[in-house]
Amino acid sequence: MRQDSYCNVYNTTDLAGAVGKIINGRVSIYGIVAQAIGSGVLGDDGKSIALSATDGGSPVIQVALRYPKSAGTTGPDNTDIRCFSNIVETGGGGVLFTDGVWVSLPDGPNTNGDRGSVATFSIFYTGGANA
Amino acid sequence: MNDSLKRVHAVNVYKLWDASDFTSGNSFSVQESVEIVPAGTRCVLRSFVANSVVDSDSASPQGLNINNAQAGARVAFQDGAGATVFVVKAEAVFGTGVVSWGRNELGLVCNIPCNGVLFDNGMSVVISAATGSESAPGAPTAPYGINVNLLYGG
Repeated sequence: MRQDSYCNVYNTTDLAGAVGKIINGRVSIYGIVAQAIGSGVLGDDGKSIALSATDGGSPVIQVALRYPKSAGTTGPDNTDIRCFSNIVETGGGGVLFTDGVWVSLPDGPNTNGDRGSVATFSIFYTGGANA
Repeated sequence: MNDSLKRVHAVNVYKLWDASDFTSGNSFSVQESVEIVPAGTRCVLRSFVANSVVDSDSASPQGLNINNAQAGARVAFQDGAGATVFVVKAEAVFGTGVVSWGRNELGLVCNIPCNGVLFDNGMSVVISAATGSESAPGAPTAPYGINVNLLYGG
């Protein structure tokens, strides 16, 4: 097994600031981890995360974030202790992106609130390199 | 692949800070670095589980003054030169025992795909925790810490 068969990692704690091209080259994506915290906005489902093979292109993979919800009538705030992890594992040979990966934040399924509520975002992939 | 990288080792990194360890002097933020593999040595991170721990049976997380926002509990995987390869949040699981209360969630469990992530020059785990809110840091009302289990080859 060659050394380059191990995963590369793209990771950010500022996904809103990372919108655009995040990975260069021909890559296969094998796994995505997105962690989200509450925004404090009632009913906020925030944004989903989309990965595209071209700038502004249709999503190849789109992850709808799952947010923590308080038991009461108000949404969680920044001190809410709970955080959810959204994990996608593609299996097989991964999902091929022939010439780079772009990330965007399309509207979520409900009210859109705090865009900063993605706490960490990681992509495990082979080939290529972080942009 | 080097045969030595096939051997899998399990490591636990666990730290429970006293509530009094979070002070205005450290901005109610603490961290600790644990060397897993020394610089100059290769290893492959294959999987990890990370969560934060509160030494309390309280079912009301907000009442413990724990900061789970952007600067809250985190686990950073670094190479031997101190460069961060990636960061994840350490989600809270209550109590230091094995029972997780109904309102709590399991911490992040991540089996890294495609044979893992190669660290070709050492690997360290840096755990950090902050208490209070982003706008009003303050001490927690109970001991607070982070627990990481990881598996690596090498």
